[in-house]
Amino acid sequence: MIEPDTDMAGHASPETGGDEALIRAIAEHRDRDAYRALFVRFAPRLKAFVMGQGLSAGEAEDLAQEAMLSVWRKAHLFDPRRAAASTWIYTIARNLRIDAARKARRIHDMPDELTRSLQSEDRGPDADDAMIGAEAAAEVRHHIHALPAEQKEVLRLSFYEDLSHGDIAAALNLPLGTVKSRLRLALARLKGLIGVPASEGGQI
Amino acid sequence: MIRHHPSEDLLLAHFQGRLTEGPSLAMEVHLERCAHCRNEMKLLSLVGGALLENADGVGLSDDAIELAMARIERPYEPAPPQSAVKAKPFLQGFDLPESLTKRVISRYWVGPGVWIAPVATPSAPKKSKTYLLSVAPGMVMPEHGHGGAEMTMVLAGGFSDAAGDYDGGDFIEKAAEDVHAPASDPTEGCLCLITHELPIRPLTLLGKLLKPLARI
Repeated sequence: MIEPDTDMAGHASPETGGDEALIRAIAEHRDRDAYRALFVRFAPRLKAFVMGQGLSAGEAEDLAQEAMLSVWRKAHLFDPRRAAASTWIYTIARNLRIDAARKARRIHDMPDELTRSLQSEDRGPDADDAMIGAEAAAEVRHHIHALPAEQKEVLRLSFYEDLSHGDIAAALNLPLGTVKSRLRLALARLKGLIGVPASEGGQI
Repeated sequence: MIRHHPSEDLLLAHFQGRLTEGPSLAMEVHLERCAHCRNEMKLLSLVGGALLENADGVGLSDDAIELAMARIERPYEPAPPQSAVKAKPFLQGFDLPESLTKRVISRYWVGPGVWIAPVATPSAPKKSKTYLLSVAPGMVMPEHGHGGAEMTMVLAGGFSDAAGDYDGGDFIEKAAEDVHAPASDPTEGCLCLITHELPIRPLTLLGKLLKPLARI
């Protein structure tokens, strides 16, 4: 298991724990330097990620700005035992994107907390929920690198471009069953690595 | 114990935000009660975050950082929590999330022991229907097929059909070609959240008589 990097100087480091420490500095001290470092690290990646899902460069950058602003405002809600920084920031951006798409489709104006997934950063911890923190995220990152190319490709299309199994099958000219089993294999392998069993609950 | 869960396809679709309002609501209600599926969603977030971290960035506009640093200086008051909307009397006594009960205004009886309460889904596609169905103990619903896919989330009590037995927390997806005649639990009856894409096709005469009254 990789030990978290507890450097508190606010320097962004690619090692596990650097980003989590930055968020802690923001939560505890409103550390502007830490925020700047986090912004420089994540905003360009968020923009790239969201552009893959059909947004223009301008829209993608707006969303990246919104997501990072949310990180600043909600840093006190982040719990590194339950999520890595990248998982949490990814979830914020994903929720924003889904909210925006739903608002664009909405006919009547209705306040709707349902657009916010229960995976959101606002949801309190639950005793049964698996503790998947920063260490697990680092392992997942390394092992995604090590996946067979065809499994990585299916992951990329699912998470970058939000494609359904059917869309991926069409895009890669593969049978639907093949796409499903590649995704299942990739996720099962990752699940095994972080010790989340197939049945209820899980512990690192 | 929950034995029936949404499929992997459905969890992924929900995670990606691809579900329409009815199915999305049914998923949210299930996730609220099911740690197993919440952990599945967590794993998907974990993979998403790992991919995000591995991604190459795209260049930001020249003033992006200055804009970001300026925005965090603006005063910010988090929106006050909305005052809870009280659930209608006929829904009290069940442990239902407010996100569901606030969408239910009224119920109407469609026959002895059976009532339906429409669930407001303003952005759902025109031909879909989402509603609560309450069936008294030991009743058999008319046999019906499904014009489109149907999802059922058991909120209280339970029911059985030829394919299995279902209890509180269970999430069942039926395909368009499935036909069934569900029977409610003989002691507790059943309260379900149901969402489907096209109006249900009743197969028996009783069902055909019931359909206009139920407006489903």
